[in-house]
Amino acid sequence: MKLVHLDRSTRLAAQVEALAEQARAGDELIVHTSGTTGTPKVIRRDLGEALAKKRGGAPDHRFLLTYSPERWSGISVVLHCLAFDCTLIIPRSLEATDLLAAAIAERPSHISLTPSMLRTIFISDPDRAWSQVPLRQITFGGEAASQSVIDLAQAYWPTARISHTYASTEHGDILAVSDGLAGIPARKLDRHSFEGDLEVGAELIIDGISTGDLWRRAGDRYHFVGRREEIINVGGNKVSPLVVEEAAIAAGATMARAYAVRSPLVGSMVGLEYTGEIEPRALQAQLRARLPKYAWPVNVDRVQQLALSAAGKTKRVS
Amino acid sequence: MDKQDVIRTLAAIIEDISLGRVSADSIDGSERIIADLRLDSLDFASVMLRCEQSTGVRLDEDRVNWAEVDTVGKLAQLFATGPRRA
Repeated sequence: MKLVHLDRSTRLAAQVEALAEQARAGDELIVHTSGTTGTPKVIRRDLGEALAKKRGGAPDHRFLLTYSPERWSGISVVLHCLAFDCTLIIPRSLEATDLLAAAIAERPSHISLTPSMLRTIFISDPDRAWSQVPLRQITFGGEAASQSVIDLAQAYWPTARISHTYASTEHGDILAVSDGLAGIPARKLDRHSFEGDLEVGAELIIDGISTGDLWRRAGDRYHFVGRREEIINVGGNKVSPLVVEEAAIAAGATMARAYAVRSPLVGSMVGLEYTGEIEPRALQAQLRARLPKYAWPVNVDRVQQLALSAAGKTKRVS
Repeated sequence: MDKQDVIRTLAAIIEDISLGRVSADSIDGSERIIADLRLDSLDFASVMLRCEQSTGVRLDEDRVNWAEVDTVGKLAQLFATGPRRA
């Protein structure tokens, strides 16, 4: 692996160097899950085994590090670069401005990031400087990649291959899809089992272990619905925050976060925070046209900024 | 907060929830929430929740006879003097 540092004195640089040493030694590593919906879990991973499982790299690939090397997503990128002697560009920090500076200076060919991170870096890039970065591969992970995110990335980098992956810290990398469409072809998940109703959201079971992830089947594709514990129960109707957020983004919000609000009459209702130019009342009207009534947010609040978690995901728990 | 204050609060919420279909100025408290204003049970739940958030009053819903709360004025009375949760 060839390391390119924007600043060798940063903590990030030291973390990557230390991780590379551990991986070369085949050490076991303690990894914290992202804790998107609650307390992060602690998982043991064998780095040597994970390194041996890596596929599809080449020495001319130049990766920009966008994830913390303390998270599995960041560790996975470092391992990939180690396995195939790729170049790994290490920015000064993982802030959007430092990512852009590193990308402009060092011209990565590959980048992995969450859909929320993509939206964040675009918000902080009004001059569309990112479009000058000659990316050949954009890989989304950590969150479901909607069609709007895939299309946005493709519009910025028309010649790049856009992939989205499904992985969990508990199970590691599970699959990747690169056909330009949201969702996962059914044949890729059909060998696993599901518990629940696939028309609305059933939990994926892998090797007898519950993933906590709910999927809905539509035609020949599976679509991620959300984490089991995120689902909002509105008078018996199950609402995925992801569906509400995607509807808000499709209606003109830049970023969105849906959450549960306790209701005295129906148990819970949906609340929504968003960023973007669209006025709250106009967004409400759009959401009413796009969502079933039980999923209409009772509160719609425009905010200056929506913070991402350390793993680059939309925070579900305040 | 007295009943008239709550009626004004409820009127503004109803105008907002109906996206302007029902004008706040047209509400004096006598209107039946479902029959006259054409709000349904989910709208009613939204109005309740928004009124709780606006007034800071958290009703003890188990001690309310909801069948009797049919007008804006009766709902306002509930928020003004009804049973609170601890």
